[in-house]
Amino acid sequence: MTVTTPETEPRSTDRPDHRAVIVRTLNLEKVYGSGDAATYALNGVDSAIYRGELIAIMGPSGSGKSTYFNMIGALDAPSKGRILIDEVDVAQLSATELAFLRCRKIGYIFQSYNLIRYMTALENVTVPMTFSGTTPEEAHRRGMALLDLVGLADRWRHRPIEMSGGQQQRVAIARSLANEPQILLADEPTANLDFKTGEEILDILRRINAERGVTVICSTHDHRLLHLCHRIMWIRDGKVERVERREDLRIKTGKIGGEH
Amino acid sequence: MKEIVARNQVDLGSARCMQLAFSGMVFRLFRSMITVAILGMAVAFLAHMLAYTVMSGETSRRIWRELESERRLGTELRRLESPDAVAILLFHWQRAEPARLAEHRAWAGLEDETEETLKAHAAAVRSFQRQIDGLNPRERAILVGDRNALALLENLADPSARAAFLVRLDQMDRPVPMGGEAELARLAERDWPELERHLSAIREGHRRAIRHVETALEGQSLAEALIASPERVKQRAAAAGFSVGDLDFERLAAFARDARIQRQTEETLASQVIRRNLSRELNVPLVQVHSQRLLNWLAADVRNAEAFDVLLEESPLFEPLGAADLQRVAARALELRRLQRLVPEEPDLEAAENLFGLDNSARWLILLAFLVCVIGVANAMLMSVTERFTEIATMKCLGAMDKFIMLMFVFEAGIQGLLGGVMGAAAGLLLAWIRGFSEFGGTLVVWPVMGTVLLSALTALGVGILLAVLAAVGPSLVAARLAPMEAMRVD
Repeated sequence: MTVTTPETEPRSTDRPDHRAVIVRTLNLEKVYGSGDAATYALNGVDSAIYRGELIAIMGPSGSGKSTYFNMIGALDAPSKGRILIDEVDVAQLSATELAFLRCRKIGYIFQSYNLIRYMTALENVTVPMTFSGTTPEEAHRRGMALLDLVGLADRWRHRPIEMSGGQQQRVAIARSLANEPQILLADEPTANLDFKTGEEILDILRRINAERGVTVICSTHDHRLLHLCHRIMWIRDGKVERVERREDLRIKTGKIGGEH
Repeated sequence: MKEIVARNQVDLGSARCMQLAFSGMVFRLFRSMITVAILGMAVAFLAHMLAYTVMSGETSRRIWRELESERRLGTELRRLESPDAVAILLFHWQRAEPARLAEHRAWAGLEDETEETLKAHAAAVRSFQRQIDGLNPRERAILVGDRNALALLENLADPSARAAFLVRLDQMDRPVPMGGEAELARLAERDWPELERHLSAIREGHRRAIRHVETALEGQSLAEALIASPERVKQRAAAAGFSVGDLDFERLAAFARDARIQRQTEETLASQVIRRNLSRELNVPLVQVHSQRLLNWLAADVRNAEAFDVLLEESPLFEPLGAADLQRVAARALELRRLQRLVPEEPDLEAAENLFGLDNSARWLILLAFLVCVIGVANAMLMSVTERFTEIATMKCLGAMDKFIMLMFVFEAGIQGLLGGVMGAAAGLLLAWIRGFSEFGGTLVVWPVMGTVLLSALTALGVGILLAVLAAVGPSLVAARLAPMEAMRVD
């Protein structure tokens, strides 16, 4: 496997680099309960996500999609199998190394935004910078730049309760980019939003992928994403059913984008 | 291996942590206020109990000392006029009070050796007295009859009487006093008669000294002489062998004067004519005209003008004294009666200034209140943590370390404990003061024990903070240890 360092990796590309795997899972299993009551949320998932791609993870509810998502985000430990993020086995990391990983390597976007209620938009964006030890001045500067990126620079003083869902999700996106992560994990980012706002959020995600070269992994039910992503991973019954490139998909199910 | 992944997260300073905890608390102001209030109440209760104990204890002790010195004045005055009873002499001998022993030495010409023997005898007799007094009434009636212990002891000097006594004792299955027949026989036949001989000699000496003082005062009564010149009486008493070293004769004189006025008032009221006049003038039933009532009226300035007029008119004795004296005596008598009501029993004089010299009921109350507060605070903290599982999970996703999250909650609890503690301690002190004031009034001692009182408030404050922090550690430990996704699922 090619070893690439952050310094030499291509920072801007709209084509995924198919030689560099950034997230790899090997025979991943997650079991809830034990004995007869054991339920396999994931049952032997082998997958590879390439550096710089925008990949959609699709599957019906209860397919194990969310579990897979939490695994590759280092938010939950697998029952069996390995997760390699940038070729490092997550299971081998100590608590502080995991904290470091979550802080700098991965940005998280949640379905319910999960902004911290008592902080302003800017404070929310700068929380991860605080955790990474950035100075307050630098954090303020970068935080404002990120809010500007998502078009909310003028609302930096507002608290989550004073913002619409779409605006909150945009703040969450800005927050996920705080420490310039290489991976962006978006868990159903548009599920709680109306059609138009959802479109804006998806557009921001696409732009981040295209302009910043951030690998975007997005679990979704939203078929509009199919137009934007490079690949789609279908998960069903705790297994990867199939992985398709967008070009192939368009030939087969050209009309899906029109639904919703 | 990619170095950038496998590096440790930076350790954040506690200042940032505190800042986050604080802004979180301000945002959840209502819930924080409830937690603070619960803590405050716990601390207030504790501070109140401690401070009140300190203040009321010191006040009681001071009142008791004042009453004691007042009683002592009465005793001293009496001693200048009549000899001490045998029981009192025994008491003094057993306690070995230096002032009394010096007098006894002067009056009975005791030698050092005899003194030691007498002390031992006195202790033995007192112990015999205690054993006899400790019998239940029925046994006592059979064994002793209506004699007191000393008369019994005298009787027991007769061997046949002693034998009968021992038989009865044996029938009751009671142990022989003094540990054995031989010891009892020795006490009754030898030691007690010897001691009694000396005590009689002392009483005789005391009587001579009293006569000596009387002669020196040339026919004046002791009270008159004291009022006229305390210093002269002091010199005469000292010459007669009384130990007057630590006795304030000025106070004794004042006491004698007040006692005389009180006695005069009572004597005046013994006259039916005066009582009828008072009853008519004051418009109260005749039965209500007695010295107590009158003292109350005089002291409290109620109807006193009329009462004075009648008293001063009818009794020539009052003329040299006048209204002001009468009123002062009345006020003093009332004050003493009030103090006596406040501190009817001897307080624990040893417990002076001891912060935790609490009695049992206070200890139970504190323990109970404490349990309630521990549960209340623990519940408040648990709620505060569980309702923030999502927030904790989010923070962990953003790179917060377990330690940071723990610290945040501990800080929050600490701040809440401090706020609640300070307010509670202040409220507790106020409560203690109000309670003490309503009980003791102006007699309440506050400033001299302020140091201890503040210490008790600080103790309560410290306990409050500790309680809050301890209550927060458990739930926040659980929260911090959760995998981020576990925490998010709970929501």
